[in-house]
Amino acid sequence: MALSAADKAAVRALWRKLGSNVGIYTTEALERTFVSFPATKTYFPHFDLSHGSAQVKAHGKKVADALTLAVAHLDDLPGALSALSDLHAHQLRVDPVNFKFLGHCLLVTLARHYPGDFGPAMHASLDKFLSHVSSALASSYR
Amino acid sequence: MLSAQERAQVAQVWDLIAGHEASFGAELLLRLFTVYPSTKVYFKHLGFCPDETQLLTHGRRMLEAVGVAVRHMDNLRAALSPLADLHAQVLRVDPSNFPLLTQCFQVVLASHLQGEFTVEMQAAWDKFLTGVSVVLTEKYR
Repeated sequence: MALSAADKAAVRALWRKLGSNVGIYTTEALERTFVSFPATKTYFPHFDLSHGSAQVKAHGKKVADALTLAVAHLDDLPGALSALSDLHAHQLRVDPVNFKFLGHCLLVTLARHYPGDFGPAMHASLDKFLSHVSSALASSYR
Repeated sequence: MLSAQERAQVAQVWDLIAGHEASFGAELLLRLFTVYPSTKVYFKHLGFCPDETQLLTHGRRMLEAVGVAVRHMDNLRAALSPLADLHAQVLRVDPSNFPLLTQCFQVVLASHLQGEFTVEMQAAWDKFLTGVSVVLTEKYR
């Protein structure tokens, strides 16, 4: 289920539209993840996770930058994300099931903010892209 | 299971979409089949490429069942018992598919309710749909 040319074009087009607001949406996605899937909070014991937290916002920006990097390297996600994969595998040790939760909440966030742009085809392409990002992140685990 | 506040939130979301069972149900199925094509195997009666009429008819049926669940949050097991029998004995949908439907449902809600589909609403609705899924797959064994 590799990303087709159409998937890549869709993801790039959406990312262009998001422009400099990616961080706003990744922050909201993180917030949704913490509330819908409270077990994910265990990875952030050192954070203030209340609504509007500056730490969550800063973390949202990191996630945004990583996803933007991924979008810029759709033809080689494993290569582009290899350092992040090492980080998640060896230091952060986030159980990969959690990547799906964040991915899902990002889809919900984008559907909420860009309903006109988030039809089934875009939904599918973005879901595929996020699955590939998750796989790339989990690739260093073993 | 669901707190009083979560039940209120589930009911609130339902009030916003009631009356749109057919169109929302059709969109839900379309998203499910587009994002997770393997789920189509359970809907062979809709044909290989379900047309709009089929999606609307089946979509409405599914959303009406969700409406039943919303009205009986206190006793999902009893209210959904016939549907649970159907899924266990006839449809035999693998339980791993229910989270996929739940995910697509939330995308439908987010896309139509936008600002009203808050962080808390999503969590309440996710809990509710997961509860429904558990009841529907309980009689498998």
